[in-house]
Amino acid sequence: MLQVEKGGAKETEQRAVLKITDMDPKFKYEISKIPGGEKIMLCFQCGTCTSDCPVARFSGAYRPRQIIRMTQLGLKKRVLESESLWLCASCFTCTDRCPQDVKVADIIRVLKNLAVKEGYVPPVFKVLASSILDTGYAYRIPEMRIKKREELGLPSLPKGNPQSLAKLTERIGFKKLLEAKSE
Amino acid sequence: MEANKSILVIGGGIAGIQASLDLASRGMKVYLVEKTPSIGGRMSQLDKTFPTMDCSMCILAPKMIECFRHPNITLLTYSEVKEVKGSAGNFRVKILKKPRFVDLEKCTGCGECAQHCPVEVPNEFDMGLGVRKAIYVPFPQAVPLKYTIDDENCIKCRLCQRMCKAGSIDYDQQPETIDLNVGAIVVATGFELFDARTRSEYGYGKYQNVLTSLEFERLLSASGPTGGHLLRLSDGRIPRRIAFIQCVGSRSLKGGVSYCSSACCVYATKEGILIREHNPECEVYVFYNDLKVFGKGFQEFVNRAKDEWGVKYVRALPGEVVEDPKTGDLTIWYEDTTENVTKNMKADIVVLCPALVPRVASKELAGILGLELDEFGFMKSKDPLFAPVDTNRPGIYICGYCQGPKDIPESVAQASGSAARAAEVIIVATGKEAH
Repeated sequence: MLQVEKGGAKETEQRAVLKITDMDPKFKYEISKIPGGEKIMLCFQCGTCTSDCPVARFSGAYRPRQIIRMTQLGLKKRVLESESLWLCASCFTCTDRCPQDVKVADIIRVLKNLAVKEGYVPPVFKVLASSILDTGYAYRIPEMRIKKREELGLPSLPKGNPQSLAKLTERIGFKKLLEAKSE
Repeated sequence: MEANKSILVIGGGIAGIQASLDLASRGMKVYLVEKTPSIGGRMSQLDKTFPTMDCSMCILAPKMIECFRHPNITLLTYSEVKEVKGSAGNFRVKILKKPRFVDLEKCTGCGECAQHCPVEVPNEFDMGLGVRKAIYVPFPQAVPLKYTIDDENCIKCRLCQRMCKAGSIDYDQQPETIDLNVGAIVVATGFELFDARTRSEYGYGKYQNVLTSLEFERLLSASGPTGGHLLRLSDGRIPRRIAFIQCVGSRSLKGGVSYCSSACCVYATKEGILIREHNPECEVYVFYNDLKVFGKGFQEFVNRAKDEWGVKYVRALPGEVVEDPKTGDLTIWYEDTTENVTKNMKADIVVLCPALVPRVASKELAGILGLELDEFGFMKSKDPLFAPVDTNRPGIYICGYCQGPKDIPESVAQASGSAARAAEVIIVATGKEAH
């Protein structure tokens, strides 16, 4: 797993020796069968995605090109465990500029979905998910703001509907995923 | 049917010139058709050639002159092929000779007319960086060295007519159709540059200091718009750092062409060395995807550029070029893929190496000739392995960049090949070697 230290990836992690036993040669085919991941094999590692990426310009940890390469090599565990996967801001600049027409942002979405299935979710996303399930809002609105709205004569915010959300998330299996990974 | 001993060559670049000379020296009658006012083609625009660093014009001009003086070659410049009928051994060709409004017999090429012409338009030969007059020769070594009035821009002030001592200006010239009977046809229509404007992230057409490689070649050339002084276009300053970006539109599956243009890595290296020759204090960076230098002596050439000339190579395709509107300086964002780090670099000039694509006009020509094109617009070979210069139509042969991506030595070799194939048609048809 890529360890992040003050915005920069640890040098030792990046230069680690790859073992052939860590690679799953079928992983790329697996990804290419999932909608959005079809063009994973076309990437020729030119680095356009990373140089365009607004996140990569400020964070030393997030490298779209590296994620694609790890996927091509079949470093399944390493890529799915990687926290950098979750740094993608989904701006799609990489997808727009890729000369090989690789849908980089889509592949990262596919990988995120797989990561959740395998139970790798960063804690912050768990907090967000449970907040939505509890209140219907991703972000808990502070009392002060509700008061301020009343003062300004603004209409009160609509109440979340956790009951129907709970029903929905249970139907689509989201709740199960959430419970599974909290074990 | 009387077999014809003459051959039509379409395109007056290095491939067309070589094919014409080969055929003419075998005793065959050659008609060399060229669309622009002078033969010479792309090679005449180059400053130097790789990997030998020969002066391009110095090795091309003698061949151009030889074409002009050879008794067996008829030059049909400023002309276009309009119709081709018949079959191998007997093609009937209609050629449109566009009016030059200058009598070729009388014009001495003295240049008095252009000196007085009041109209200035961007010069095609300098890729629009310099200017020419409405009456012009494309470049000083033009063959034939005869002036041409550009009808679109001429304001009919008749100053040139008054100045011309030879009395060669003739405003009443009309387009002329020439009928030819030829036994075989050699096509060598060459290439043009991919439109780098479509890669808007690099800012070509928007930023003044982002150039294409052919524009930059003119900027380096002693016959170019700055007379060989390497200056920045926006402010005339001497550049301190120049960056090349490879594969702009080539090797691209989206909005470009998927093939490798085959010459860019080496010509960028050549231009890099030329920059260091001009000004050893100017840094040169080449951003490449894969360094594809496969020709004879090319790898050694790149090694020499690295070790002896200090040209720096970075394995990365930059994602974006941003201009500082105050200074005109450019910032290149790239990921050094060998270090896995996103970086940015300031540069005074960014040179894009766009894909080389077959000429758009060659599509129309292929229709006239009845030739098949491939998905990119290259003329299709009958068999890519065993008959690369043959086409689907017997008696018509192809060579140079219109057949596929290649460099000058390969174009010349292929031109000789297609000339030999075309000569075969004549020999078979006449039953004997022509003398």
